Amino acid sequence: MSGHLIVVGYDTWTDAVIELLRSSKISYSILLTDKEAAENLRSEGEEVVCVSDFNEQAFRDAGIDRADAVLVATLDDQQNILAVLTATDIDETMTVGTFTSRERDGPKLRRAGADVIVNLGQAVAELIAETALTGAEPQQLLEEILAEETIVELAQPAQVTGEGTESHEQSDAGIENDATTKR
Amino acid sequence: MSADIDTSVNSARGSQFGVGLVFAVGIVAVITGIVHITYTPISGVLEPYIPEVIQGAVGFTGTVTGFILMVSGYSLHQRYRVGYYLALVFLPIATIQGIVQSSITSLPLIILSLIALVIVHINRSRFQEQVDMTPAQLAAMVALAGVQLYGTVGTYSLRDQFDGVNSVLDAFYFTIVTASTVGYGDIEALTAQARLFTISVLVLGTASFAVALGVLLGPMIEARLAASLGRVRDRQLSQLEDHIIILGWSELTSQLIEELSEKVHIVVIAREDSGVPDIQNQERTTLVGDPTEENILERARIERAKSVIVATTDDSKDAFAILTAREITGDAQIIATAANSENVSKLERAGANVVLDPAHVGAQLLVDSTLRNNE
Repeated sequence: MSGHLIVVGYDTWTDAVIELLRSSKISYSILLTDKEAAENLRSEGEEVVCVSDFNEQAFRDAGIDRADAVLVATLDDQQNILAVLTATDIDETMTVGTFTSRERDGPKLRRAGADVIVNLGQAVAELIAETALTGAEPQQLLEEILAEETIVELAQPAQVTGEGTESHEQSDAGIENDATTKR
Repeated sequence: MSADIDTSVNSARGSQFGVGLVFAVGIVAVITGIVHITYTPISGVLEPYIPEVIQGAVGFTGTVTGFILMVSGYSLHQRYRVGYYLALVFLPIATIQGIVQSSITSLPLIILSLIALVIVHINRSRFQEQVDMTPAQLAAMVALAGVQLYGTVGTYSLRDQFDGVNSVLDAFYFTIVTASTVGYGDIEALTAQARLFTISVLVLGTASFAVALGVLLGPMIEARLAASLGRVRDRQLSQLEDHIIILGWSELTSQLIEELSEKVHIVVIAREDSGVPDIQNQERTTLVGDPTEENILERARIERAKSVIVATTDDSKDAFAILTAREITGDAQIIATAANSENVSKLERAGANVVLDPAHVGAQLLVDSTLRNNE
């Protein structure tokens, strides 16, 4: 992975995303609407594009033409959907990952073109539930999830009770992460 | 999820099914009984072999059996051992009554009661609760029974001075009618001695009835009121084992309940002003109170919990709750989340075994999954 990423939004959870990218030495630019936060990040040496709206021009300014993926990381699902739509509109093949705060927005985000949808609240609850039941380390569980060959989506409720990972590939309903269904 | 959780959930369902069946048999027995009181069977297979008197009696005794089975079903629902014994005695009686009624309408009763008997018996280990009677309740029961005995024996021995008492049954009937204040007046006391005796039966009888009703029903009504007000009795809590305690009510709490409620019993402890919905059921108990208070944690049997999850709305409340929980329990697993990454180490210091940093989890999931997807 050598290319460039665009991080959209700057919210509660974005710092951790930026930190991870920085420590992984991945090139990225941050697209955001908050002027004050933009100034702060800029003074820290980050590549920042401050816009009033996540429109096509904003993505072009942030370098979507040379980007490999877009990470949408706001807490507002409406903004997330708009950003996902704009990014996939510019480039149909663009890989887009997004946060979602509401379970029911998962299918909408997928239809909008998101490849990875992370429902953080649900993911955290699943990790804690598994830890509470089995005593496993959450970090280890997380790595197990990430090590899965297939795409792991965390946007859906745990409906599937059987084993196997085949079901994770295409269908956009009833998919969930493996942490709760394995073992 | 470990296997033992699975089996306990399954057998819980099995026993609930058994309880439902006992209820069903009770209802069917009552209906069949009433049908047989009203209509004499037309086409009984065994009819020629069974005396008419017994066939008549079987109708109303069948109804009584039905009501007893309903009581048994209720006790089984409360997991009382005595409910199991009642079922063991009265389910076969219902079957026999069904056979004696010997008509097509009693066929469901026969089949249902046999199935219920088997299922309740298989699940008998679920019904272990002892009926714990207070000394006052015992005394009231003894008094009630004693007065009936006194009345029956007395009336029978004075039967010459009563108009209409010829047998022990008459004497018992007179005592019940008198002591319960119903007083039909069909049996009359003719002498002064008989009248004085009747007065004593009346006074003692009504008093014992009143006391018995008070001490037996009082606690039940109290418990019902307490349950509807959301107060859980300690008896229910004392059975908790391997449960998961969630401290605080937040978005995370409701998500955790969704994840866990089918697998394990959850106890939520949260302050009233946190908006915690007061729900008591098979999967979940809610204790309304301050999760940083020791005695509420002790009531929740924290020392026997599988895990304690701290999920209040902010890190400082979390820390306080962790400290309290750790103080009471030496080795319980305490799990928490840090709203702010900086607080992870502080919550660990407070005594949490595992502190999850949601920001970190989110970043890892978003970045790693997206990049992997891109490859």
